[in-house]
Amino acid sequence: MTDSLERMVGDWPVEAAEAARLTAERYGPPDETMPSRLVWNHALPWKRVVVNRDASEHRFPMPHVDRMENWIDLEVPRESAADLAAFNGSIRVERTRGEMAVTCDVEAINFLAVNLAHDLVKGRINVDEARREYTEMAAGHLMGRPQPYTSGLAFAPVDAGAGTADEDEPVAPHHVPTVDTRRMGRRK
Amino acid sequence: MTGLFTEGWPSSATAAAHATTEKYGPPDEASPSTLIWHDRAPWKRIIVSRAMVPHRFPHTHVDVIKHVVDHPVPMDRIGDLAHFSGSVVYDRTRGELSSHCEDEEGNVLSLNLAHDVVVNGLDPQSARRRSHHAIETRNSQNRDPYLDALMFTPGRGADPDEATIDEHLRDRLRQALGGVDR
Repeated sequence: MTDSLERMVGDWPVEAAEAARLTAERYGPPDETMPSRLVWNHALPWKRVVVNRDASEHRFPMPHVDRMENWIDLEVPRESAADLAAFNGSIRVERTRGEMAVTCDVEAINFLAVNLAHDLVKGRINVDEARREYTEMAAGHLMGRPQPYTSGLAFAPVDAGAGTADEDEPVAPHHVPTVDTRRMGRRK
Repeated sequence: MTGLFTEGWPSSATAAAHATTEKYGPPDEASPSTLIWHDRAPWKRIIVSRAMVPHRFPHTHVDVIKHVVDHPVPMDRIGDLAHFSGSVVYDRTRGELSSHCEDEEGNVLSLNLAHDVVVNGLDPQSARRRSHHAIETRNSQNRDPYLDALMFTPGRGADPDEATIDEHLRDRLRQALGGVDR
């Protein structure tokens, strides 16, 4: 496993390769591999973990690069989308699929982000409180003081098929073209 | 070509993969569940997935193909974007706007309408009605041009936000925690 993983990430940036190794140590070998990303499915408590070769710059709460995506099933009401984006721009909501992703450089901070996002969606905190708590708990974690919110999910993740997906509904009935019935019969 | 990659895939996902290959060439990356094309103008990225996601807006279909562009979205327009379609997703840090649908023209339509919602102040309900009408009439002489090409030029919109952990906070936390910064 180690040799094949090393081959997969051999040409990746050092930090990306290290993120892949740490994830493989925790969850085993990836389920899917591509040149730019490795995917672990059902890496509990996550629905999916993705480590990307290519990073994007993120400065909140301190400068780092986003590289590791952690996904859960979560129903996010339309009304919460703007608040989540204002809290942390590295939270992505896939409402149709009923999924939410948090992206950062380490899993502990993704636990923190998803726990505070869950509090925000449930109305326990507002955007300012979420940003303040994120800042303070991330700082504490960085100083070597793990916080409960950086150690795991602080809520029970829903089971697959729990109905977080939102199929939406048509604006109006879809008009299905019909064929003239006189032309549908068997030729004589 | 994509037959090698899509063996055993559902027909809708296979059709999306074939159509994309016909138009843009073979994918740059492939796994058992995903095909990816990078930098195929006007798209930053195209992703076809084996997994089908049921979606009933603007009509009943399955989402199998995602098209991604760079497009900034002001914070005060994100709520309206969410009310327009659950399959249009904004990634604020990367500045990426994507649409997930059954084919490319569905995504072109959704992204044009998303642009109108975000930039031109179109209300979400009007965008939803136009989306429905465009699909209803796509095989008629009244075909909506929003199905055929992007009506905007994608532009960089990454938003890295700002640092909130500063030295002052680190000092305060050190004192409060009574510990040493490791």
